[in-house]
Amino acid sequence: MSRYGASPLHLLAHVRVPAGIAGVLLLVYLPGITGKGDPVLEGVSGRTLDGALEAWLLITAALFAVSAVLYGVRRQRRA
Amino acid sequence: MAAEPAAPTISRRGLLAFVGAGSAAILITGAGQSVGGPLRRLAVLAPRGGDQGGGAEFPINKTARNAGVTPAMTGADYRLVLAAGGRELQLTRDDLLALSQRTETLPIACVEGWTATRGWTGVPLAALAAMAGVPPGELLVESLQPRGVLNQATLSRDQVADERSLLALTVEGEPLSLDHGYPARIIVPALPGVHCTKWVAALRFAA
Repeated sequence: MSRYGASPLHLLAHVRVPAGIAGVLLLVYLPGITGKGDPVLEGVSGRTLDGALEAWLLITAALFAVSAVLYGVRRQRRA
Repeated sequence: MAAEPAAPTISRRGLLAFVGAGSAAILITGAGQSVGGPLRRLAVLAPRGGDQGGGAEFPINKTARNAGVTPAMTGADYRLVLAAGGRELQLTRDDLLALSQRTETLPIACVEGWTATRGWTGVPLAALAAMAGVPPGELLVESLQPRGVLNQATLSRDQVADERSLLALTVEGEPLSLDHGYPARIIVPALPGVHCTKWVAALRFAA
């Protein structure tokens, strides 16, 4: 037990963590997700990043879903 | 430091896990860009390679279109120039295929950061040196690619003499695709991918 009591259960944390991870992925893969990098990439590699936006949205949705489930489980345990 | 800090909204352990999860997300989405095999499919946000036609699913470094290599340059009029000591031979792709072939499993290790190990079949560079009438020596490789710093590369005597060094015509039993260097490309052990010249137009051996 720390001096602040049990580890905090805050809804904010369960929004912040998936948003943070999705934000990092967005920042790193921005040229692909926006499609702005496609002309250069196609010349270099012969393929475009069609589907990167959808993939990022799916990953983001999955992160929030997992976080919501964890939040629910943690609340149940404390109730 | 605040005298009476607000109650924390995340534990120290939680914060460390947050940072770790962010790093893991980058690792998982990036691994498939460097490593081949099943991991390649994890790179959903920035995919490389995959089936792009021509039977070779490994990534392309530079497309023929970007390099300025057209199908006309690699068609029926294509001749490989084999030069040494002022003498010159011209070979069609069929002539090359009629020579004794050798298959080697070698990686293309691209400076872009990916590696793909494949089975390459073609004519050993040492055999081509012998055909040109010289012992293995320094070799200037010229590409059909009309411009750019990678339209030629020099190989050392040791690289030419290594029996695994090939002028590759096929990869994994399929003819090279145009984007992978058809009609012929260089593949040499432990040579950066950018020096494994694609669309080889001429091999000039030091006499």
